[in-house]
Amino acid sequence: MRLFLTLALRNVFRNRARTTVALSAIGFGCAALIVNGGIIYDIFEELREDAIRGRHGHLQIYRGGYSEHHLREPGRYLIPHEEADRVVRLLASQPHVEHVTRRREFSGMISSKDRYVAFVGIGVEPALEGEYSRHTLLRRGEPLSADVPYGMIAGLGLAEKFGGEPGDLVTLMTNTDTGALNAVDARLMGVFEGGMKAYDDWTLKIPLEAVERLLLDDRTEVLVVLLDSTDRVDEVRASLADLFAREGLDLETRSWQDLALFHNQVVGLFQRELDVIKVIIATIVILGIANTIGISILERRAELATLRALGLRRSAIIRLLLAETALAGVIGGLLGVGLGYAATRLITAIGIPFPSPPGSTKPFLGSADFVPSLAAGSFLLLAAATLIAAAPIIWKASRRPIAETLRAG
Amino acid sequence: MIHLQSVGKLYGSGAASTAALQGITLRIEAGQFVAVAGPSGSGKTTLLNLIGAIDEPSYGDVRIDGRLLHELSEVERADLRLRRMGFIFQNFNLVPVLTAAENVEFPLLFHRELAPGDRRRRVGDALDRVGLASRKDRRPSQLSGGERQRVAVARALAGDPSIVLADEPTASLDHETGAAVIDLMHALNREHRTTFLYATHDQELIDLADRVVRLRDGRLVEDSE
Repeated sequence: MRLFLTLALRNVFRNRARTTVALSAIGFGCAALIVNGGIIYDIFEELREDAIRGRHGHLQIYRGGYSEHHLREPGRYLIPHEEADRVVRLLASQPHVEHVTRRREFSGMISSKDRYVAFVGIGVEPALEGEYSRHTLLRRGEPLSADVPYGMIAGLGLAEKFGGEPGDLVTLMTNTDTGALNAVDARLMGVFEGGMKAYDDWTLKIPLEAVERLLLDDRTEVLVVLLDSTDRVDEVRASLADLFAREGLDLETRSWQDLALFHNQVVGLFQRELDVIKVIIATIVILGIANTIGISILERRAELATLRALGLRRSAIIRLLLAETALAGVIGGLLGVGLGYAATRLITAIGIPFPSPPGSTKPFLGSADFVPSLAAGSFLLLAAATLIAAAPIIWKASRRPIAETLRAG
Repeated sequence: MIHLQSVGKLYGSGAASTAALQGITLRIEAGQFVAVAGPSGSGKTTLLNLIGAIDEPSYGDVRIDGRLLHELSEVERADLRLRRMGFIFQNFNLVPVLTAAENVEFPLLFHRELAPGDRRRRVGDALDRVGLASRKDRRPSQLSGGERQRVAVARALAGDPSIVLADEPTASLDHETGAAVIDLMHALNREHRTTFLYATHDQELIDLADRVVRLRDGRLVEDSE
């Protein structure tokens, strides 16, 4: 076996120029997949953190039945103030839970100067909002403050629609749960950019205290939870379900993945694109090295015929050539992984300026993640592509008539 | 042991076919040292290829130890070559990336019954017999033509074959080296009772054989037996 592999390895490096071409094709193909995938995975991460730290948190807790029925009966699926306080305390004591905040969504009209503009409002706890807005840019003005209960911030698009600038006084109007019209005066503290244009065009944030006065209702719509790690979402979600059951709480939990539809669509789209790129690169590598492998085997046809004359079966010739090809694939793949690692580090160090993704308002400085599973997948794909490129050539070479081949030299 | 009955080999088909061998009937007993003589194109190589089971006759029967070669499967023919035959080629046909010892050892890897120690002992013995033990770690490019052919002889003998087929084994060597290779083959033939058939058109090398089979235009024109 040792000698068999020795021969296979020496044959790989028999013609250095040709080997360099073949290994380069495999290596660059592998590195291209790693870098392309690394950039895309970095975009995924950026979008994920935008969704978690800018909008949804890791988990959201609602009154049981909220997801299914709240659009028909919004007032029925809210959590009373005392119960919400109890749930906040319970959640805060759970492992891996870093922050819990209460929110209340509502909609209405802003009146500013001579304009009336529709909005979607989110009542938030200003003291905690910073933790939930790490991926939100404050374009102008100041952030929310617990000291200014009627101070609000508006999305960039919404502020443009009502012509608002920090410091302006506006009136927020909405319907209470009983159908009465109510209004409060608020001051525009700042203008934010959350990353999604649709979100920024409609959304404003205002302290929960003001929302409770506007709606004449202190119930909580949703409790938003941030964890110490995104990887623990499923684990914590399961443990919270057990906790609520034990405590007799009628609550339901949704994760950021359930809520971040835009993120999910983009990830699905780019994953498919990544698959297409894999097929294209594998095809290019197959076409690129098939000729090189073909020439290298053709040059050795007399030697292979000699080995068969000496008693090696066709299967032994196939094994030998497959071992050589697999070694070339492995060596080229490892070079590609090394090259891919170096390229991702370099790109991350330099940073690539990207325009804002579809539906987003934020251009960003892209980097490339080195993703071990992606590197392993690229390595295996390219090694397999090398074998696929060589398989028909090897099959043909093993079936060449011995005497005729020896005669032709 | 080797028996050819009315054997012919045609290349091409129909009217354009060429007869490389025609109606060869020949019996060679175990332990004989046979020169297959004849000018270029007389059918020497074709005859050795048919006996060596690396080519098939267009008609007639080739038997080795009573077994009809055309009744054997591809795998059985490969096994027959591995265990019963040794081949020596005009251009040595050594694997350039392997050393002399590795070239001799490589076919032995496929003798599954041989333990690694036995295999290496056989390699050492074979190189010893051809006088190349001290150059076992050299690659073919580091050996002279005569030394390369002696490695090829060692490779042919290491599997302990009963028949060695040598196709123009001296054609790439100077006369003196060629004669030395034939002398070596003859000595091994006498020592181990291995049957040797070697093709040549050099009369001086033909004279070294115990038996001469002469071909012309694919026909057997002389058998000194």
